[in-house]
Amino acid sequence: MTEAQLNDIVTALNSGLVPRSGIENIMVGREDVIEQIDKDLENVKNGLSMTKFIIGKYGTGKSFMQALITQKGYDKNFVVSKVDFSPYRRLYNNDGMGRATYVEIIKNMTSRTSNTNTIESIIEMWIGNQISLFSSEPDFDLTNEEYINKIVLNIKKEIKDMDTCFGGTDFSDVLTIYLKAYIDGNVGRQRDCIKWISGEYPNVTLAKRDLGVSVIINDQNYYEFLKVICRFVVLAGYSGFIINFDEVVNLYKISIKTIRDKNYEMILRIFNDTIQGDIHNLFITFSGTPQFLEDEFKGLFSYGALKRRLSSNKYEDNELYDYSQPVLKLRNLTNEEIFILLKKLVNIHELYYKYESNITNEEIVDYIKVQFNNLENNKITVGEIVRDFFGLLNVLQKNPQLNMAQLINSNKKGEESSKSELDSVFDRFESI
Amino acid sequence: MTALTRLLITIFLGGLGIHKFIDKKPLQGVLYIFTFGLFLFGWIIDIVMAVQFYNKTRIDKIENTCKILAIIFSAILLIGSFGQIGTEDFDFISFLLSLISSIAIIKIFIIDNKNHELSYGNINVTHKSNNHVNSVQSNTSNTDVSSSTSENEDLGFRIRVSSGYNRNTDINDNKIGVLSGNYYNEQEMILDKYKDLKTPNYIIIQINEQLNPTGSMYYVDDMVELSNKYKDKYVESADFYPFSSYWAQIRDLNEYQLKWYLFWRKEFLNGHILDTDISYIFIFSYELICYTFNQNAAFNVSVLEKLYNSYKELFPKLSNYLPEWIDDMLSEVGYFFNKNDNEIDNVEEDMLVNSLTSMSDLDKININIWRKHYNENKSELTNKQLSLIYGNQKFNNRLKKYAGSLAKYYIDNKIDIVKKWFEIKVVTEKKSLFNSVPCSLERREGTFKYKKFFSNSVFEHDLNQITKLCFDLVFPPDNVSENDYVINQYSEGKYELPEEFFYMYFKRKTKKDDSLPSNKEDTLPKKEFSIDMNVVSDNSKKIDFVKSNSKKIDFSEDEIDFFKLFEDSVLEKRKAQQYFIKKGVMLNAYITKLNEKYYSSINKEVVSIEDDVLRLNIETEEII
Repeated sequence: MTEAQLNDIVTALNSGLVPRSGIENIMVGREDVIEQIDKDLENVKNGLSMTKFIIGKYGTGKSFMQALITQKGYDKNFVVSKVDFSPYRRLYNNDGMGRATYVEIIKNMTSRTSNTNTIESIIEMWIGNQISLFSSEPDFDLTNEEYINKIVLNIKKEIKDMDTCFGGTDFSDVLTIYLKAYIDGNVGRQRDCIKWISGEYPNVTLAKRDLGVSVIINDQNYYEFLKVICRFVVLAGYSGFIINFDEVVNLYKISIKTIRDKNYEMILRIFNDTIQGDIHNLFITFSGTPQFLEDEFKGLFSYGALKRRLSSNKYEDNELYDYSQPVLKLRNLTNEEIFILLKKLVNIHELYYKYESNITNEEIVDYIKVQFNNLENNKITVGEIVRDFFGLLNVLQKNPQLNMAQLINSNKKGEESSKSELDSVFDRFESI
Repeated sequence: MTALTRLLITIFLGGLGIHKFIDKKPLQGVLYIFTFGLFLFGWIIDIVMAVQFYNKTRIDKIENTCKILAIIFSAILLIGSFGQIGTEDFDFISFLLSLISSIAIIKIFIIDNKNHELSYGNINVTHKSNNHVNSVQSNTSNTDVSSSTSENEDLGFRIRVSSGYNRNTDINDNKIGVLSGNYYNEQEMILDKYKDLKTPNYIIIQINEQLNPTGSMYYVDDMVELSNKYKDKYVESADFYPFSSYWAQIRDLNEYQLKWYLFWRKEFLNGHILDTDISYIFIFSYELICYTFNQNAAFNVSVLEKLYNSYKELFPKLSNYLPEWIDDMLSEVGYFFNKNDNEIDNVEEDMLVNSLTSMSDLDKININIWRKHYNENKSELTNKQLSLIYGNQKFNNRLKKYAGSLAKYYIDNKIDIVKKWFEIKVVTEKKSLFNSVPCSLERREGTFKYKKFFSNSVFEHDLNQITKLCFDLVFPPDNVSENDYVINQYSEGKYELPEEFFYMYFKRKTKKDDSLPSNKEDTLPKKEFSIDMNVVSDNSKKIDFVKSNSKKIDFSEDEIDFFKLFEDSVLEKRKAQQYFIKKGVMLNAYITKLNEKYYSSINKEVVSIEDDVLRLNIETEEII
């Protein structure tokens, strides 16, 4: 583990988040899943596409898994984007909610080396490739009109081959405008182009005023455009594009059946496209609760075509897992795994603050024992245990005279008193 | 002179005011001659009036004739005005006037007539929202239900959609063959139970006032007038003619409809029940209620009841109106007032009693209806407890469920719950009469007597016990399961409910619980906390801390040239852009590639892009 990773881990754990790097150092009990994901990403790198559904109960580490996939993606030189669905961000809806998802995908695109403006560098890398076709010529000069026209013609030809839904012209126009604005040093116009590519133009009128383009990215065509962006990512020299969709339960919560079904239809379309090879180098994950997947009335299984595709391997059980199927079901961590995790945390804490901790194995077991019941009843998640334990370590490090048992007991009392207070509040509500 | 000739004269010679001379208004005629029909406007208005007059006299052909005439006339006007163009006589103002008037005519006749078609042609559409009127279709579909007389077949039901709308005042009685005379036997129609009824004096006085209006009366209802006019009239034979209208009146009938109405009324009073439209029945009902057809109350009530009994199957909607009106009439003449309580057999329907006896829809009965039946003051619950259950859905559902179950228990044991829980009392009530009947007579408040269900003390007691039970079920004391608590309370004698009922719903259920666990969670063995230290010790290896080795990186010459542009590790984006344009490279692309290239060796971005500046993240000594 490197120093940078250590920093990342400690700062993330202190605030209860998933670390940005070095995640495999604190990962426990998911070795087989990781192995599978490694294989999958390798396949995607070689031109396949894939859709995975990460299904697990609240607190089993779905977001952690996606963070892990992100990090694995970085290691393999992928561009990664993460989108949380919300009541205003769906796969399909008319009032710009589909487009909002696209905007979020583009906005959240990150690569190993860049957190922001990734789309800009991807576009520039692609245009750079087009320029480099001519740059070897002896009297090459980017400010020369002749060469610009040659490059523009080439861009138009390339896009026409790539683009399936725009007829090519509008998108290549935008790229041409971008190139010319870059040469003129017109930053505002460059931003307008990026704004167009990010789908942030709400209507055609504004796009026409700024760029003279009569087509914008909207709810109907954003998916086609996403495919084109995926091509761009690959042509810019990356291995592929990973999109992590989180909080898919927001699609499950849509109350109008027709709209919910349209969203599921979109999932089916993405699933089919990735499986049947219509897109290359795209890896998509959806993370949701078992309810979202298996509810026959409102969940994905209410949509017959998806039910057939996503139903689990009949022969897997609590012990034997088949991780190569589209649905990855996450199980809860065992006590042993939690113990190892906490032990690792102690280790990391020692490394970071450079001290010798006097916490014994028995004390850690006691700590798990205290949290065990809450864990069983879904009152607390592993993530919360990790955060609490890290807080505990911080306190112990600063007050070496205390021991762990004392802290656990005092904390327990505090919990009880707060609980009784809450209960009385509810009682009062009921009596009204 | 017929209406048609008058109309034609108005159209073709109206400009010269000829029709005014025919009407014996020579001064106006002269005025028309000199002003060319009051500058065309008077002429046009007269044409409209002539058509309306024509409308009144005839039923068919109106729309078509109107349309054709309007088109002919406007065509003549247009041809005339366009013919003038280019000639010496051309006068722009008259041309414009004729143009406008021709357009106006087309608008008035053709478009107006379309509206007529809409409102009278599509009777079926309006029927759906019509309370009084049943549809023509339902009438035709039911023709075989009550074809009781032989005349019925002779008539042959011809359904035509009324194309005209006529005011009865213009109908020529002789033309449609109205006969006068006594055509029914009044005494035969009177039912035995009503034979003692007498018409109150104030009604007779009012009718007479209406028929012989004095100066003090400012308004006379033409319903009274018309009904009086036709009360002795009848028609020997007539064809059925559909009719439907809101608050149908005699004045709304056209000549065919009137003919049918008079014929149908005669047949009905002679005991022949013919198929007809519901609006005819309403007209007759109004005549009876308003005492304009006959002033004998006994006769009116009897006929109304017969009318209802004869047609209630054909027109189920009648049951919304006629029974109420019959009651109103009876109460007006003091029928109920003179009766003893035990002679009354009207019972008001009670939803709760109905569903308890039939054991259906118990859950649909509003909790307030249950509440109405038990006295909360006698409840054994404290005020605080009562306030707790008020509006508590869980409690309400349980109350309905267990009260229903208790009723079922009684029914299963052959106990009449209506007798056990309710008593029937006679209620006297005053209310206003004849709502929604178009009649100008002043009516008084009527006195009604009817039977009504009242819950008795047994029901009150049972319901109170169930309230207590439900309260304990919904709000059991802490740490005690509902059923255990309820059973303990029962054995302590808290609830006075039939033992078998109680056991049926609680004890037996709890017995079942002993053998069959109800909750799945209970069946699963509770997980014991365990941890296998052997597995743990194998896996918990200490994490090795690898310090990043700061190797010296070899940057290419190109890159070092670029780094030299930075001043204090900062470079303006615009300057960098100019530098790269010269080299023919894209800025973002170059930097991303640079970062990618050295990421593995230095683990951070070499150059990072901020809003308007580039920042160098390595120290310059490292490079050079």
